[in-house]
Amino acid sequence: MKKMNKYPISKKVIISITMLCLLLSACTAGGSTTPKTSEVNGTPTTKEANQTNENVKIRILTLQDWGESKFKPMLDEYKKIKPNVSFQFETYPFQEMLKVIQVKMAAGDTNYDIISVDGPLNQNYASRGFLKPMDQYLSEADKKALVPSSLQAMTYNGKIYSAPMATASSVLYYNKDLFDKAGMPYPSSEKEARMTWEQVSELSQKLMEKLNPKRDNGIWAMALEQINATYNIMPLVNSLGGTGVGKDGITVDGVINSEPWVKAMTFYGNLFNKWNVSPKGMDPDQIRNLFVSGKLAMLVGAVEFAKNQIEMNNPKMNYGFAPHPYFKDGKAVTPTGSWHYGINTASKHPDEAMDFIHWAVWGAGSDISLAKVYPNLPARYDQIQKIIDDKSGEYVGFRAHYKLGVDEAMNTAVPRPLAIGYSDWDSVMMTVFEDIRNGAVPKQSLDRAVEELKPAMEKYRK
Amino acid sequence: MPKKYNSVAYLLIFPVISLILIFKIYPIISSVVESFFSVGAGQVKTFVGLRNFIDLFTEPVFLKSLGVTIVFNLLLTPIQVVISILLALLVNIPLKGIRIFRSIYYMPVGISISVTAVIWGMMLSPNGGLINTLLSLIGLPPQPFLISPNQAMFSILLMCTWQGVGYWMIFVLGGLQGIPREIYEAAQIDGSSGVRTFFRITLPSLKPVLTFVIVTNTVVNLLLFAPMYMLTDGGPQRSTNVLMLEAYKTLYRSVDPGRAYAIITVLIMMVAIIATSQMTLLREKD
Repeated sequence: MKKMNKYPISKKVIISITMLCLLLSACTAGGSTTPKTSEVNGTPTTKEANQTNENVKIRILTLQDWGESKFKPMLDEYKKIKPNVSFQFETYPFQEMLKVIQVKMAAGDTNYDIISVDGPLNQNYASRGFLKPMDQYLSEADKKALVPSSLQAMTYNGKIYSAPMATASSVLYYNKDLFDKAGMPYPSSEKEARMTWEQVSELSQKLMEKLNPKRDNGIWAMALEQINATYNIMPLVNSLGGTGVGKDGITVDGVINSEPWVKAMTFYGNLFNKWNVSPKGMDPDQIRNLFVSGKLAMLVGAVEFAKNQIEMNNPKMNYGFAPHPYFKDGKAVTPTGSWHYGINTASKHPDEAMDFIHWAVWGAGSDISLAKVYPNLPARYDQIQKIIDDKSGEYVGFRAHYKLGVDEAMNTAVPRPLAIGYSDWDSVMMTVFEDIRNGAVPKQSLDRAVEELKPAMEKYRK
Repeated sequence: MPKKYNSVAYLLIFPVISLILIFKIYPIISSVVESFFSVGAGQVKTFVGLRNFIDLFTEPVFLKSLGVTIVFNLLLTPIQVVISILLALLVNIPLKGIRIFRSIYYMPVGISISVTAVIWGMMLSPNGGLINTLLSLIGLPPQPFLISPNQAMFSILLMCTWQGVGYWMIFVLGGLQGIPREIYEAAQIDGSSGVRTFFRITLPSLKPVLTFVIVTNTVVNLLLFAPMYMLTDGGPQRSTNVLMLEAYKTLYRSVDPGRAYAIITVLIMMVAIIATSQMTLLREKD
């Protein structure tokens, strides 16, 4: 007791400091939101340098589905020519990754070398200084090797800021068993017999009458794969001559509330509300599952859907494909645009990152990517030609409908709005699509969208 | 307290105060400061004074969100408080096994808000959700719930009430058990009815607890975000687009930090004003 009185404070000070240390260590050790990271190609390097003959670790920020296991075939091959390079992945779900890019790139984060860039966001990222221009690394031949829609998407103010992993197209998949059950003939796969949206709606109503007249057994006639997203909805508008933004890339008034938009959105709303042939309240993943599980008769889906979803989850599914529909009074338009590689402006290894990207897009890595990582349509003319020439339809494991996809990509593809304010535009329009899907009046919703978007887009005019 | 212990006392509270300063006070000050700036192309930050606030109060989206936030709180807080009082009265009855009921009512609190949202999302699904299945069993038509602009807010309100009342019930129950039994006995001898006893004895005795419950519940509900984010994303037709969600969308989707921080500043002011008013009003009646 005497001793305690002699040193009353020092003991308590020690206790307090210990408590403080424990608290602070608990704080720093936290982080339930830590992303999934993984090392590829052996032991992580400790020394990093710009010289290519020294060990370099390239850090990639990408989608959840494209982590180590997906990219490994490419990286193993790249390692053979660049043994000094290793890779580290940080992956997130789609929406989360977009937020991470917005926050971390804006803060000048140096922890990434390569980031995945959704095509329409190239302009936004470039204008905000997130991406390093690639022009110094690319030849004219490199640029000419790519299809125009990809080249357009990767360019901002005359400079190249990203490189396409692939491009994309969509077809109309249909479930043959459900068509047989309904006693309906299959849609033609010939592009000369391309169905109009009017015919699709009529066919969908007949299918519903046969397969689910009371709307109570979970079977649906038709859906867009990205049911409430710009990617699949814009072709409806484009088919009628509408665009996402004015020619200046900013104007929305008189554009997104124009006649083609109202007509296209009325059709879209009718699918869910008037004809009741498409399901409400489902997200794109649920729509994919609906088709794969045999409860959806027709799906407007990406060409890689067959390989990524059907063959993975229901390989015995009896399905066919037909060209993407169009409006009777309009023109044939198909969606396009895909993921790109971009280099973080603050990357410590831009040369090495670009070397990998060049190999993955213009070099031997591209075929491996198309076969094993991202089985979408190639963005390079020479690879497209291989698909056209491939008699067996098995080039890099592609299926017959890729030929149709290639044809669409070359002739009917229209990219999503290429606008510096695309993230604002997409955010507002997704709300509009969802509202119309849930029964809102199209014209009113579009006018409201103009009201919301106008100030948001105008800020990019400065 | 002897003077020599003052330094120890300060040292002991230092960790907590530091954490509050770092994780609460600093972000608030930072949000207020940032709300006076605008970030343009190329990440250039410009001082814009009150421009972000002026823009906010002329925008239909913000005004709609403000309205939704206010209506949501005007409904949710009283409902939660009233139900939690009723539940607390119920589980305060000295019956055998009453603790089991207390646990059952408290159980939803132990489920994370994300899991709750997923479960309720499935239950309220228009495509074969549990609630619509039950409705069809009793011959009622299926309801759109979360995809209807008229029903979405009430559906979320129902979910939040289900999850939240157990938590607030525990506080009220604690307050009820702190009321001396002798007061009730005296009231009984005086012939006071049950209702009169409740309004004249129980409720006034609960005032300190209810002040805490009402103020804290209001603050929690004003800052509610996850159910709307997970179930409706603010829709349909922005009927559930509360201010927290609008701020989140502005920062991470539209990438407009100035506007997002201005919304947060408005929200902070709302919380401060409402909480202070509630505490003052409830104190004045003492």
